[in-house]
Amino acid sequence: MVDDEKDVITAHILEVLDFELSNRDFAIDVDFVEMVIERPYITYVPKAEYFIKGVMNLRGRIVPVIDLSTLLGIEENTEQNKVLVLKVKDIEVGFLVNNVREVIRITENDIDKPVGTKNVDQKTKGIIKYDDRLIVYLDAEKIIEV
Amino acid sequence: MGKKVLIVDDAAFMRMLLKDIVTKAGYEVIGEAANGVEAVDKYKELQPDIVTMDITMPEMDGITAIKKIKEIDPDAKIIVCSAMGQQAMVVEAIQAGAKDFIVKPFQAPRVVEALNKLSK
Amino acid sequence: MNEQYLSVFIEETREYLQLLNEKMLSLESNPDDIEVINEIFRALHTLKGMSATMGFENMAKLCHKMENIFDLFRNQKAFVDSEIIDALFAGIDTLEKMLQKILDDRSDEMDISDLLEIYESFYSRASSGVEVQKNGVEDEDKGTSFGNEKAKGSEGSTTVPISIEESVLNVIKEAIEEEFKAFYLKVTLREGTMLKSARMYMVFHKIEEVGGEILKSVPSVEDIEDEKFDRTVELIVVCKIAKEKLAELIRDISEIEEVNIIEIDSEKLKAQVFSSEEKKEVEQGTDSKNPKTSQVDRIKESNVTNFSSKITQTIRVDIEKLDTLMNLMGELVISRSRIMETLKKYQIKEIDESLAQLSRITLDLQNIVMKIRMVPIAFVFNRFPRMVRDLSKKLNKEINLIITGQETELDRTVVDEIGDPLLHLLRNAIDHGIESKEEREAKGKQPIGTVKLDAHHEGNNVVIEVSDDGRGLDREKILKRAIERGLIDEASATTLTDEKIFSFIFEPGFSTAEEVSDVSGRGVGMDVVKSTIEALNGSVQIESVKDRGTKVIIKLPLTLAIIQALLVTIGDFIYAIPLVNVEETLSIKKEEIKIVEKKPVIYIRGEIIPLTNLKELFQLPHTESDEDALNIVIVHSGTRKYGLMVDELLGQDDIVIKSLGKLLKGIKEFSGGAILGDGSIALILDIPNIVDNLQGV
Repeated sequence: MVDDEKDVITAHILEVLDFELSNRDFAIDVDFVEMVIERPYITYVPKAEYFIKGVMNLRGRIVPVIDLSTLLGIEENTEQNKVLVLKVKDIEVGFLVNNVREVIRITENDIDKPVGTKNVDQKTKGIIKYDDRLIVYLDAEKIIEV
Repeated sequence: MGKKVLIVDDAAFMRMLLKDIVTKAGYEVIGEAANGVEAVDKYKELQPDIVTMDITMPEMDGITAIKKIKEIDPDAKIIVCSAMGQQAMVVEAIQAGAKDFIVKPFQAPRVVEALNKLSK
Repeated sequence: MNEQYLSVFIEETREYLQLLNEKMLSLESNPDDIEVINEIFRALHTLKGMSATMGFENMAKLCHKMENIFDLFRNQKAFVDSEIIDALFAGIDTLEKMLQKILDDRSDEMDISDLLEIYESFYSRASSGVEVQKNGVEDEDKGTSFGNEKAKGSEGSTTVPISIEESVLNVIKEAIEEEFKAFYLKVTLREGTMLKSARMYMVFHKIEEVGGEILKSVPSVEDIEDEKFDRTVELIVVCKIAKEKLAELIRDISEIEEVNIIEIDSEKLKAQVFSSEEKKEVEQGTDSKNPKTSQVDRIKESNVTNFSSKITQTIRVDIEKLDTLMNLMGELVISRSRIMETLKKYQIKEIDESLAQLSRITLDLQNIVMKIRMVPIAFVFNRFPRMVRDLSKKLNKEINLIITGQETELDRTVVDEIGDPLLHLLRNAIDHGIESKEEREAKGKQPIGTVKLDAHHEGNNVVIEVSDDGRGLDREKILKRAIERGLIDEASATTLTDEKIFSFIFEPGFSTAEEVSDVSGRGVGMDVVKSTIEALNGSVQIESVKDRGTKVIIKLPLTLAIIQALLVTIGDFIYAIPLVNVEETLSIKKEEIKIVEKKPVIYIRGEIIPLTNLKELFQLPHTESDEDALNIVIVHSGTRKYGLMVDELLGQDDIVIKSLGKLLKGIKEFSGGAILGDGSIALILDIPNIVDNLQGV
């Protein structure tokens, strides 16, 4: 019974990881994030989808690395030195990013649902307003679907 | 420390299922046996507090095993595991000294009830 | 919640079904073998319990009905005939289908009404004689208890709600004089209690255990035994222990919902005495043990256990865990090479010995890990006797299937994949290879055809041979068809070896069977056999002599996890080519490349081999090299050869194959990746797919 009550209170609080990509702010559900690593050597995979940068050796596992800025259709004008390693629906995958900031706690009310039809909008859960910043809240599961 | 339980069933699947239920109920599974012969040997070796005993098994069936175990230890606490339609066998098992029975498909609360009653 | 058990359930069910098939076959040839009957009975019984536990009611039901049949057999109430054997085989097949369905969509929904009907009618036919007699007895019992029920309704409003006969009352009186106490007990079982009569028996047992005696029970003991009661039983009991203590003891039994207890005052009971009409009931009530003896005897009889196949001590391991272990093993090997490489520079003597030891241990470990993944090929072979039986029956051919080497072990993954190709080859052998009895006799052959299935180790390979003593392949017919299909021109046809000609039957859509039978001619052709085997990094080859028979030889690697590969560079990256696909490596001069039909080719020993620039195929930036020499790797997939242009040949190495993961599964050109000594990744070329692709272009 006590547990139920607790659930009700915490239900609306979401923890997301805030990161930077091509001078923009993005966030992703922290539950999916396994680790953040320095960009390792990435092996190009011929014939792979355009947004797949290649594969990396992650502790003996071969893990695909997604070029997030290409996927989202934003210019890649900066050096992406970090890889955000996620595990979504049992699929392990790396996202190339510029910088990882912090875990922030938000509530459902902080999110504006997406309205657009652009590539970015289809892969997001909405825009988070936080500390006067606008953060694009990515939908990891949708990104993996592609 | 929870009471020590020995699980006897020829199907590994059933043992796994029971083990899970038993462990979650706070008991310690100290051994498993796949037939009556193994069950008797393991009983001697491990001296469990409670035994769950399947009836239909190769090598030596559960009822014979109950009798053998009772010879070794008249106070042995044995729960018979039966399938539906084995009424007569269950009766025989109880005559042989089983303290309770549970019926497949196992319902966790029933299994736990049987264990708890026996560990009083 | 059961998802976590599903894999174990499926695995074990498969084993039981295999056992059932085997035992059914031996039962067919030896219908009186009581041991076999008992084994099948037990297996079905266990399956029933397992499937019911997983909530697969349909499967449980089918098992139950089949089990009933075997119950008849073992009690010799019915005998095994070929009709029921066929029906039982059909049952096992259905169970297999159910299992597949469970695997595919977690459901065992399937129409089994026809089967159930067959079993039920067999069962009722066989057991009717016995049943009638039993019913007679039961009817009589029912009469007495009904009488009781009525009495209870009209008179039961005083202290004790059931009627007590005078004789019982007398016993109570006597007992009370001897310092016994008499109780009326109303015991109610919990709703949904299973095996109610056994549960109620526990109540009886408990009372007797504490020295009590049951003088009367409503319903009667017989009705309780037959589960002819709802949840409540009323008892008259005499014993020496106190009221509360007795109630407590009974409440302590599992699944008892309620115990009402009233101490009987013998004086008050007088008012309730009934006529002596129901004396009989009393006798039955007092003697609660006797009716059971008959049942017990029966149990004892049926419980004479037989010794069955040996049980080896094993544990079950999730195949995924083995994969992980294999991966870690691979990493260990890589780390070892890295350490050795680094240390080599310093040439420290003291460390040499330790390093050598480390190498030995890793090698041993690697071998063990590989062995863990190995299973005997019997896992696949076992299902064939049944298939051969059915098929030969259907085609009216007598076949002697000889299986050897089933203990040969190979990688689990290979075993899983090899079943269908072998099944296809066996079907071919029986359907097309073995002639009809008449034809065989006309040829002066044994009327019974022989099909052999053999497995054995040969170095790092496992060789599986499927052979028959049938009519053999028709060289001329195959050649004619190959020319028709443009696989070869008439001129060069004469120069071809038998082996080359026979290999045409592996070409897609190539079939010489004049009529398509529903046995083997159903689309899954030899080309699928070949591609499956090649996907496993194996090879297949045919030998055949007219009227003497055909032999298909399959070579498979022992394990899929570690392969030998040729490492090459293309552009900036290293790629691995499985050695099984490599014919040879060459260094040629640019001028040696000829253009035939606008495509680059080279001539090697008179053979024209098309060339492919992997850089183009992989859309890598083209760097025009000034070097005069070009490195070519000649690869083959089946009979086709291709020359792959690469930049550099780095040499050969053992590599551990790793999956590229779901996101990259769609890329046909690579079968996986390998992590090299320096931690970098080499993609492994999937040569059969690449060659197929090039063929299409």
